[in-house]
Amino acid sequence: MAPLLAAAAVSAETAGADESWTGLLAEMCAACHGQAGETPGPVPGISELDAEAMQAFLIGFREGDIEATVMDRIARALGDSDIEALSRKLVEIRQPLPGAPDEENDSQ
Amino acid sequence: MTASERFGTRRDLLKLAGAAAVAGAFADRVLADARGSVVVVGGGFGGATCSRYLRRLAPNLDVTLVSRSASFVTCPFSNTVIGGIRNLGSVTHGYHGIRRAGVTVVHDEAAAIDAENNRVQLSGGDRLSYDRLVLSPGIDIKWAAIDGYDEAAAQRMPHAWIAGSQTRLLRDQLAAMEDGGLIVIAAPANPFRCPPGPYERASLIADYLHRHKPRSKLLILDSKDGFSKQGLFREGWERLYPGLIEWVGFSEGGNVIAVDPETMTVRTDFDVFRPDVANIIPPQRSARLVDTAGLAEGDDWCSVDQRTFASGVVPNIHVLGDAIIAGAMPKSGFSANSQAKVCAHAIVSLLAGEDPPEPAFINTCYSLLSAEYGISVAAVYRLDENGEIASIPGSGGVSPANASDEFRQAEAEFAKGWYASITADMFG
Repeated sequence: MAPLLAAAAVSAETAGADESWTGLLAEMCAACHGQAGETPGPVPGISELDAEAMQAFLIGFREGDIEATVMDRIARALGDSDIEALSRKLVEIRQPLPGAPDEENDSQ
Repeated sequence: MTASERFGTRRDLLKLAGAAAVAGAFADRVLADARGSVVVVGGGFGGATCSRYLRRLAPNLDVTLVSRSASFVTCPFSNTVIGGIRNLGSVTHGYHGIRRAGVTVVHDEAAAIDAENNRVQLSGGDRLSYDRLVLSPGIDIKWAAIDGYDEAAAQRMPHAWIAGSQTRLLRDQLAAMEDGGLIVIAAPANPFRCPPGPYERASLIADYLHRHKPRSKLLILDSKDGFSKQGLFREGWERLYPGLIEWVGFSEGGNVIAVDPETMTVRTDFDVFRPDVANIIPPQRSARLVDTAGLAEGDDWCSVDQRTFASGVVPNIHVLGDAIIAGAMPKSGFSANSQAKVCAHAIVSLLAGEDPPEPAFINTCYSLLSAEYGISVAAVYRLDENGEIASIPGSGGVSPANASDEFRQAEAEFAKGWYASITADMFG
């Protein structure tokens, strides 16, 4: 247990408290938007968005500037630094599972 | 322009999109090199997701998924089967995509956990050793919690709360019922699997009756005085099926205390009903498998460390999904999918000797009131200062009241989209 506690203390010092959760938050988005940002159904894909566009959408949803059904309610959980970190992360993790059927489409 | 196009389409998103982004390394190398054996028990939303994400994060990890059957019938969208909108095949998923992700899939039942020796005993006789065990075993029915409601009674009065043959049974009973019949749905007290589920089911049965057997009536006998998305459901029922659904809360005598399948009798504190079709959704508990390792400590649900989903009782075992109390999260497929990802990250970190990452969770539960009328509740969660999963103030909540038909239609489209997406996330 001791090494874990020590690691926790270090990470709390070095990482911004607001950003630390956005790594896993990005993983949650895949449930609707796909592991590679591509979707098999009517939920909009996000694979073509770069981090800047992602950020613009999330801010737009949060502020009510972009019409939404559910993304407005979700984006209101996010502060500015959360949105910036999450947007970067969403682009970074854009990679399907090994062997997933649409692997060949992941041509980035 | 269709409703879903108006509320954000691929085309809309592309307008704002800049140059295609460059994918970075997914996880850091230390985590990607994590080694060891992880056994995942339960092939549903939690287990399927966890096994695939473990392999995604750490390709060297030895991951075995134990799933009772060769295919999985999802509870989400099973109400569309009962209402005759979809067939059972469309909510049934195989494990090919999980195998393709490098997971060893074993179709057997976990009979007991030998925590002392880090082994799972399978009903078929095999024993699986693990460094870490993940249990996402779902629920079991609390038989006889309603007097007379046992496994035999469920063949006459289906619960259909574990999808599959029970779903088919309830659908067939509705199809065989004559116009003008009475249907009773008994809804349990909290907490239970899928809080809006009984009311979505009532809606889609009403949709079926409205179309095929309009003189029939649906009665919901409830063991509580309020329910998930209540205002939105009642608004929709009024709009789509006026006079067809009657809801009786606990205080008005809705609490079902006994049933008799022989005489098709449903008894509450105050009344006796003789429905033509009885859908008894009884009280539930975590799957009994957890008792073989004492994980629930005599309680109905397991308690875990909500950062890692590690059991507080038995080392090296993680429990997630409907079987646990997860702070403010409801027992839903999306919750289990979310928890499974957090658990996979935690396990890979722990096996690599690193500190588990800061968790985050999302839950969005769509309910269909008809094929073209959807509502939702959403929440974003993180840990509070006590280490409990808490929703973030000012965010989440339910769909707006008195929204346009177009809005409800868009949510129905996104409900179908959610289903297609999350089952792809789980099963490939």
